[in-house]
Amino acid sequence: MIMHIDNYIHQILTVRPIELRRHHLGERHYVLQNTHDFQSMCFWLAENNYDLCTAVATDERDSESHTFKIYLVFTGPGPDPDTNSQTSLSKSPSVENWAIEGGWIILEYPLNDPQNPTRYPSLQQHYPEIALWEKEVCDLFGIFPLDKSYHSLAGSLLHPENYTLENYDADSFPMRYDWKGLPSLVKDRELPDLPDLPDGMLIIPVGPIHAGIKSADRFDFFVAGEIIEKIQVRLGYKHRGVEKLFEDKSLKDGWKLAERICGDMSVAHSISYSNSVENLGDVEISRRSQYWRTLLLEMERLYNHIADIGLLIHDIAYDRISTHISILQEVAMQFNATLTGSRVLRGVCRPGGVFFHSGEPNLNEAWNTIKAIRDDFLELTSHVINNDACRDRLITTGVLPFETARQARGVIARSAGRLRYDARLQHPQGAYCDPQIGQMIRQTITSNDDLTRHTIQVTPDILRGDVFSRMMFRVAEIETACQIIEYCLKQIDTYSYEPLIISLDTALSQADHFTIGLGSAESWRGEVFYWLMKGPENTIWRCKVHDPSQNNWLIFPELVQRKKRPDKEDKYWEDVLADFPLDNKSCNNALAGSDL
Amino acid sequence: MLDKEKTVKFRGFKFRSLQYFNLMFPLEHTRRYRSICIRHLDCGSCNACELELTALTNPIYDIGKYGFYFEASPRHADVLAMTGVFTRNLSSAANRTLQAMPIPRIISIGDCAIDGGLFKSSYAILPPHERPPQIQNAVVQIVAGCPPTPNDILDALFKLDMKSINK
Repeated sequence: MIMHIDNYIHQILTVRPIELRRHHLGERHYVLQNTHDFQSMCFWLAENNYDLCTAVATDERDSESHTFKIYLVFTGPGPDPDTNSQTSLSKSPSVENWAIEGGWIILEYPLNDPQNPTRYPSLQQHYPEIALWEKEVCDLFGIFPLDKSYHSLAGSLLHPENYTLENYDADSFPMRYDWKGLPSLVKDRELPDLPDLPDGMLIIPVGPIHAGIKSADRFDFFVAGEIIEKIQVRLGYKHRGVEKLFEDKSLKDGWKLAERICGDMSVAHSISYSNSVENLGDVEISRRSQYWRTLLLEMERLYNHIADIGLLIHDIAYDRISTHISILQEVAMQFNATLTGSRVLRGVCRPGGVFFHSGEPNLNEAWNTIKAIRDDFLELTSHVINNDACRDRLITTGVLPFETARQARGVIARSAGRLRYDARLQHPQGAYCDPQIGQMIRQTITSNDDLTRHTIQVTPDILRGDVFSRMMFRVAEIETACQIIEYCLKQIDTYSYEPLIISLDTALSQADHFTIGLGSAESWRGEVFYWLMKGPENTIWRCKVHDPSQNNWLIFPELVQRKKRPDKEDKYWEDVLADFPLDNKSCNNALAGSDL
Repeated sequence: MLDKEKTVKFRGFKFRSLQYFNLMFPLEHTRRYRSICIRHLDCGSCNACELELTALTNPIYDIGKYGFYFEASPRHADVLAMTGVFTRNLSSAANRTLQAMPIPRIISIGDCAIDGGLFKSSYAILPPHERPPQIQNAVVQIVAGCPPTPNDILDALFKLDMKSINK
């Protein structure tokens, strides 16, 4: 029995909330007035398996409410753990079932306490994945939860290299509407006092500049011999102030910036942005452009998973296979260029549909190329999967426990057993509403006795949360991506009479100032979520980008550290320092995507 | 930038209009008098330029055969390949990397490294006229594009004239 929020809303709350029903089915928007309501609502949502999509903070002191505000977006309902449907997928208790479709719930909470205009009640105990957001909002807006101090949160985003806060300007919060200055320039790093370590333990700092072609982040390894006891991650080096740049851009042109937030997730970000604009204007685009968008998203998933697995095999030092896989990646990227003119599929997905500079491409030979890539790739990875030395390195390294996987998103969560974190099934948009595509997605993992149409079968026993399970899950996703591409190629032919792009100007100008639009897309890392608020004359007033890496960076230390095994007493999952590149590469968290 | 259409047979399948062998550059242009050591510096890029830089090391483009190679330490480097807008948080790390080079030379790869790209007016980046003078004076070559294709990057690398730059 799935509980719906309408039946229980009056029983939870003391003050009746202001309901603003949206015209889409399943979407609800509630405005809460006091702290008690806020906390009881979040408690109820957490108990009933609702997942937190994003959290947004806005500065509305200039408008009628004269407060800061917090918006939380939840998705649900999740599968009920009491039903017996869980046993249909596997007999092990640590594999959840696939998601059931549900709508969005927006909670709006104005910070209207006159004694504490910049404090809000904290959500950490119910939704621990909000920790990075609290730090981000503290730096950008200056608001922080009631049970934490300002100094415990500040400085991580704007000044990651200042360990002391003496030269920190506490009044410069860039996202406030009346902010005029610049934050002070970062001074050269001052080393902190080293903590007292037990005998034999060392600290290895690996700074923002890494060996090889990598992004900038800092790790401090606390190492006992070779085993990693603890790791501290310091982010914020690639902060580019993207959310401030979105303000005052027109709704039509915001996709150009959205694509460049993260370069290897260009299609996912632009589709998510376009979905949010169309949600704002309540417009439905043609089916032909929906299938084009799905095709491009799956192609992006294909070339990125191939690249990922190739570099992972390079980290094991099996270069005979990884160079071949890099050739396949290159073939896939050149195929992208023949279709769209850009090797990373840029400039195509826009609000209103899909646009090709040099006309719509010819799709006659497309399936042959993709089939060739897929067959080659599966043959190459079968060498790695059946090789005992590779299996020895990959199995039981970087294990993510099932309990913590609730905070993660994307492939990392799904390969640890939490199969419900897939935005294509939780709130399908566009062509993912097609039940045939939904069925293909549910068949990435074999059920107990039913074999899928895949060449390499991935069973639920493999979903242990380690590097091998992530690699196998990516292999399975490559096969589903090829199946979905084949299906979309046929559907684009059948709907050849529909337009590729439509104009949204009239629909958008009818919407008021402060209307909210939500859009999501499932990229190869996880769910990308855009929260838009409209400004005057078809501009953006506030745009919040949620990248799945914001969730995944939080659980990354636990993945790497030494931890106790729940199934065997007095045994630990341990990682050697040489296994760290495998963990890092198998997770492949984005730094640029979440503006960190 | 693609070649003219040709059919290439690879592992039994025919690929049409795909560039499997990179024969774009005539051999005279690629002749160097010494090999060049490149150090990559990420100053806040979106990772698309890095995808193209890693594509340079695959067997199709294969910068190794022209004498270029990627190196981990800036003290061995001849050239610093800089990608990304110059964020404030990474400015001190970038300064130290440049100080560690024997002769500072920078290739700016991508629109972001040249003038900030779409992020020009952001509070968190340093536009080119505000960057430290040692970084402004060390730029030797630029590659435009968002992201530039591997052939564009190779083009710029071949045009590096080490004799005139070397003081």
